[in-house]
Amino acid sequence: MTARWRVTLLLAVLPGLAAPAQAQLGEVQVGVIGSQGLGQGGRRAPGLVVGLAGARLVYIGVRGTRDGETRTDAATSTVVTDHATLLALDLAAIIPAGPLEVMPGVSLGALRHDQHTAQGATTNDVRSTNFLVAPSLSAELHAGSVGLIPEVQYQFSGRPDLAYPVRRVGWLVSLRVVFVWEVGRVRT
Amino acid sequence: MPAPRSKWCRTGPVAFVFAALATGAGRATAQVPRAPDLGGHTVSLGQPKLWHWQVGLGAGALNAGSGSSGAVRTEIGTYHSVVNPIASFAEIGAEGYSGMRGADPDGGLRGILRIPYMGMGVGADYNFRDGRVDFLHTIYTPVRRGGLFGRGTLLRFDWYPFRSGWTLGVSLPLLDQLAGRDRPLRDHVVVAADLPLPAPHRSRDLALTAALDTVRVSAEWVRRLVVPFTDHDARTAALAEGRTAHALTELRTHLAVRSAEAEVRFYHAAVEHAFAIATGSEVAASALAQRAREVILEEILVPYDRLLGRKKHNDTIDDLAVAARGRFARWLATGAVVGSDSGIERSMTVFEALTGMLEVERRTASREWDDARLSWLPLQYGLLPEQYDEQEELESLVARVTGGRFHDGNQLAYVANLQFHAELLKMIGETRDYQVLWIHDFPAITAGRLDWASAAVVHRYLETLTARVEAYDVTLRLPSFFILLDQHYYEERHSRLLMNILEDPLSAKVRPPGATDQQVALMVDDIRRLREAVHRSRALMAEAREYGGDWLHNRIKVHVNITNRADASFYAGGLVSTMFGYPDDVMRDHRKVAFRDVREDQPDSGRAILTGTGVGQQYLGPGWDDRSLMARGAVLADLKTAAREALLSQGLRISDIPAPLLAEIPAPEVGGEDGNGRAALFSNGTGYLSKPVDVAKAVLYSMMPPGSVFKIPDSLWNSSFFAGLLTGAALRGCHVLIIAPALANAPSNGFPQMGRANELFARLLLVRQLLATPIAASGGELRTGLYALPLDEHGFASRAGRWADQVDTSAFLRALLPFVPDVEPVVRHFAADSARWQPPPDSAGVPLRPRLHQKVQFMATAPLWHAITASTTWPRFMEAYLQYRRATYDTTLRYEEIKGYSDSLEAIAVHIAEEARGVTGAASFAILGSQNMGYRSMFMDGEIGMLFTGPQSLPPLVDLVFMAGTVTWVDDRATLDRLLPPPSELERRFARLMKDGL
Repeated sequence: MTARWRVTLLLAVLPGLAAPAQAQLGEVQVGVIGSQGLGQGGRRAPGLVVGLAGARLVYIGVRGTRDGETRTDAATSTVVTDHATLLALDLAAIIPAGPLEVMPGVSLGALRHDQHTAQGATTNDVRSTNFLVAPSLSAELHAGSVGLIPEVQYQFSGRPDLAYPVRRVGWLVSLRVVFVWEVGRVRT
Repeated sequence: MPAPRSKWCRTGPVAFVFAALATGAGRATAQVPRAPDLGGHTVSLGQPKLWHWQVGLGAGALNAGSGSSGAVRTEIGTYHSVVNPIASFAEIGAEGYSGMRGADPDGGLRGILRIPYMGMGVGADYNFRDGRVDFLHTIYTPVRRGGLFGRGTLLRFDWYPFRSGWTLGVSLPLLDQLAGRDRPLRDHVVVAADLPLPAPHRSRDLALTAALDTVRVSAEWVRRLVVPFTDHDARTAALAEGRTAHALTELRTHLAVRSAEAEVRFYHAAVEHAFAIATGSEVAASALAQRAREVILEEILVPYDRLLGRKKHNDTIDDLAVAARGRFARWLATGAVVGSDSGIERSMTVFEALTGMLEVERRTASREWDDARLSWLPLQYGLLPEQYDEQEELESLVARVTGGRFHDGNQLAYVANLQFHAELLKMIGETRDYQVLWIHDFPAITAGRLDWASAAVVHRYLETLTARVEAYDVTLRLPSFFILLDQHYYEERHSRLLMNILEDPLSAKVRPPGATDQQVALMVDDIRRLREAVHRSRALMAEAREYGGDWLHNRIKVHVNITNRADASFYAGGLVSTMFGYPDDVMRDHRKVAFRDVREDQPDSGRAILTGTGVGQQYLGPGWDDRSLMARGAVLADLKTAAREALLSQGLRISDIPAPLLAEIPAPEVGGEDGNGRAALFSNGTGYLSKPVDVAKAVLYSMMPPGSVFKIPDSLWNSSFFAGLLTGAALRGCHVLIIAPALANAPSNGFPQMGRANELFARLLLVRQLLATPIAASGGELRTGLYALPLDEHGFASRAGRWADQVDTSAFLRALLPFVPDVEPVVRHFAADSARWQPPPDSAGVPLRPRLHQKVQFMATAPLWHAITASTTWPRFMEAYLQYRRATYDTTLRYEEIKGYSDSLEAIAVHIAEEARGVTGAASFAILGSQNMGYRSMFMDGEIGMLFTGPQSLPPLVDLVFMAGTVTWVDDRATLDRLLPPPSELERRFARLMKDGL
């Protein structure tokens, strides 16, 4: 069995594993995320998310995304390759609204920039890490044990200390596709 | 005359010595306390202080400009809660500190705002040495229950984010010897010890394996049918109900094959069959199965089910099972039932498999209910149906599982709430040695005015003290009065204003806000008279000369005990202490009872009133539909024990227990005639203590035989667990009537409580809809009613008319109550005759819509029900009841007039009970107390309940018969949602999150 088949099989089996609990209050979500920055220079960033919707009232999760872009500086003919890795804590309130769950929230985390420049045989690597705050509004829609969560965020981040400036402030849209496991109360 | 000081205060100024913590200073001493009439002081908890002092010691690193230096600091501070301290929401404080930073002295002042629930605060710190103000963030936690080093000590971390400094240390409450002692240190009960499990018994006999599989499957169905789970959750209410519907459909499918009652018999037959295969003998199998039931009941079911409602650690019955197996093996090895070793081994295989099945069912129940506190192993595993279908058998079972005891020969009288106030006043006045008022509400202020009912109680205390002091030179006896009042409502209702007067009437200043001139004058006069009487008493003055002024103040007072105080050192239930736990402060003592002169050696000397109400004007009149039980007899000794245990759990040492509350050697009990006046008292400790009231109810709900009738009204009907047990009762053929208030008639009508009630009643409608066929086939019935009474426009006549109209058109009530055709004309005539009565206004002058607060339940077996409902005395019974109820609408009636009505009601009840005398299988129970049918009452709050039987259990029946005719019986979702509106999805989720605390 090839790796692709194994992954396909795993994805097919996962929803079936989501046996409903009885008097449960929350759910665990594990899935993937794809983000797209809006405006000039917006980048696509795939990643992973994992979170807990406690009592289905509050969402606490972690997201990790990574994007990359290569460009050439017209003035110096330098080839600039930027990678940005985001690791953020997601906090949101969950407000049921008909078939949807609306989630106003915020992501708090760190954005690490890796910039690789090459001009002829000369290369240089620079790394800069900045704090990130991103107020967000998302909506959660469910089909069985699969959840679709479109989201819009406005990212605030410090100016990274890089040779070739990168701007990471602005609107971002994303879509999370998660598998949902219902869980009982966590208590000691 | 010097001001009095409590014992706690007297030791306060020298209390703080860190070294004392290590040496255990403050441990209980063995000295025998002196009696008050020999100069001794009566110890009480007193009232919580308004300002709480604490001292601390810490060390850390602080930035001193050129760099960081080590620092050591001692601190002293005081805090005051700006809201109800029990809410743990906000308190302000000031602190001073001094110490060393580097090699130089250091000091400063702080102002701090803390959120006790979160265990954190922020503040401003002015440092003398630096001459600057810094922002301070403080975090504190007890680390473990009772405090890091006991005595309420807290681990504290102070952080100065803008100067990169911090200190870590401990703080200790000062002048508060109850801190760290006023709750149980353990927040759980350990079910099983860590014992090595013996080697398992094995059998390769396929027939035996198959037989045990049959037992296993049946064991699961027994559990599912005795306590069906219907509280499924999901993303939406509709999805959740779909899951419940799915589970109910499974039950229905199974019940089409075998009824609930037949399943229990099938289980026992399957067990016997397994033993028959193991031994090859039907005769031996019968004896083995019987012995197995006895051992399993005694060693596993009783001890495990006794833990209902309690947080459990090591939650497994493995340990209990090993004990059971040892006992069974011993019996096998020494008996002659099974002769061969192989037969014994195979019999042990069966027995071990039985205990293993119980563990599987326990685990499944715990997972299903998502809460080990609700794990209930059906007692049916250990009993045949014919072993629990008579009065004595049921009583014995309740006593075994709760660990309680029934007492004979008690005198009990069931009364309406208005009478509680009159009886309390009477009780205080008649006190000979001591009297205890154990209540959750004693308001000083109601609707902005001095609560006139509370003021009347204060007046009666002062008046009684004065009379006893005036007689003291002759009698040389003074009674002791005690009040136990939970801090939550004490704060909410400003009870301190009245408690200050009662706690020190010889020094207190009378300035109750909101009081009329007449009320102030009365209180001033009461106090003046008392003080003059004290000064006139030659004996008291002579004793005060010898014992001191403090003694006199301690002798002439009401001993106030404010319980369940805010204590930052008791948190539990969370992942990381205060951040995700919850404080014990949210747990309350909800017990409501007053008693006097209870003595074990003189069972007839005491009197008690159990009630669902508090002291205060809001509980009087027909607007507050509640009941009380007056009691006299040996059962009250258990009440005294409960009071003593409550004080011990609140931090009093055994040597501090007031002398009147100490146990005497009990007198031999005198049995009542034919079990007349038989009663047992159960008391749930507050917080993590034992919950026998829960257990007693669970035993009766799950074990009353087919055909029994249950009438279960309550003001907070949220417990899906109790509803599950009652659903199980309906499945085995019982008639179950569950009544809760509609939104407009609920005393506590917040959306979480009402949302959960709607959800519960919606599930019960589903049960009725999907299990209608099996319930009907078993002869059972499940009805849900909403107490949705309009304003009594013509006083009680309105309600009587409503009863007659509703019963006239209700087929199920006419079938259940065969006496209705005889009684209906009486009620109609009464309604017409009483139409001139007008509703009394409440304190604001506005007539009140009735609010259901009754916590009285009635249960009867079919033989008793048929016997008493066939009585021709019902018209007279109902007439006496109606007259009594009408009297409760009239606040101008004198005590003797009201009591006359209730006495006649009791006399008729005795006559009706005669109809059931000698009837085989006749059994009845009534329970009255403080407990709500919700999880808060099951898990958290202190509760009390009197379970009583015989003729005296019948007055509650006529009351419930009347209520059944006035409530709205819910047959469809539209009616339910109209009277008890469903919550929004957000509210529903929030209510489920909060369900344990509602």
